Amino acid sequence: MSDSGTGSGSEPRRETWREAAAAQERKRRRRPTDQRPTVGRVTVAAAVAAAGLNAVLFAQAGIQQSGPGAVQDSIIAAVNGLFPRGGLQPPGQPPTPAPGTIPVATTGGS
Amino acid sequence: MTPPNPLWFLDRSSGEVTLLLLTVVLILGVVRAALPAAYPLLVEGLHINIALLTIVFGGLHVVSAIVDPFAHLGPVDAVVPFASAYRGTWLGLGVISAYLYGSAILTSWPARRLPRSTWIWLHRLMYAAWLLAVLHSLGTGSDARNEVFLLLNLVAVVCALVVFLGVRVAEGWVRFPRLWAALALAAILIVLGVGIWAAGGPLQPGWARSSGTPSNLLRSP
Repeated sequence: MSDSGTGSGSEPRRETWREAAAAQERKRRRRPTDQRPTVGRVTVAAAVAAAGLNAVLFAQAGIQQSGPGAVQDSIIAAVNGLFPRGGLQPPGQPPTPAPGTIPVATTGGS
Repeated sequence: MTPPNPLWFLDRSSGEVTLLLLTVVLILGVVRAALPAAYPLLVEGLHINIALLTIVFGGLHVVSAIVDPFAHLGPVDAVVPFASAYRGTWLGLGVISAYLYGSAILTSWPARRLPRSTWIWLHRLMYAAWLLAVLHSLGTGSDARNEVFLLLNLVAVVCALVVFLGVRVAEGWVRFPRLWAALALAAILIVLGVGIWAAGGPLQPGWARSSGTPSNLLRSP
């Protein structure tokens, strides 16, 4: 008896919640969907903004801790780790000649 | 001392972005709860989508912290609160915040299976998750004194407080003025308390040492 009493106490509440949810879902389906593209556009904009801010904060954290040169070096090291044959070098270093070519002497900028 | 590598910077930047996104999710949730008739599809859609986007950046924050060799954090540190040797207390608050956030997300997905009152109370854990994330950001974050990070944290806290007071409290005040006056006062006192703690702790020199940074990672003895 007590079991059935407990069950009858919680079931109606669950049913009410399900009915309310189902009604909300029906209402959502009936409504014009013109807000869905807006939701999509704003979501994409938020994702792009978050990624951009992440890049800015990445540089900011690195510059504050190690200076601009260290950030550059660490990015180059990471890229070279991912692509060992990419040949990415800091701008201060002269370019390495390709195998089989004659090195050309370079002078400083004008 | 091992010099920091890009993953360490990525960990910190993605952590800050996660906190900002969490703030946006909280604000949208507050607006949705207080003003259910105001652009419901738009607000709820953005609330859900940005909550999922927060998981992406939160995941990036956790994975980069584990993979990065600088602080020697492992999977256990990311799962078990207060187990880390690196600023264990403050990192633990971040772990608990993630659990609270995860419970709010998971119980929303099959929300229709939960009694509404249970779901609402579980969803209110987001307030605690957000507050713990702020404390984690200030306490663990190496950038608490970085002007840009500090400004973003300040903007996040002020926006969340203003929206809570201006929308949620204003809406609830009509029906239960004493309850919402008490909640408004509690919110203001909590924010003031966090501000006073931050001014005397993470924003002071020497916080890295007192917050539990291992001595081999400190820049000077």
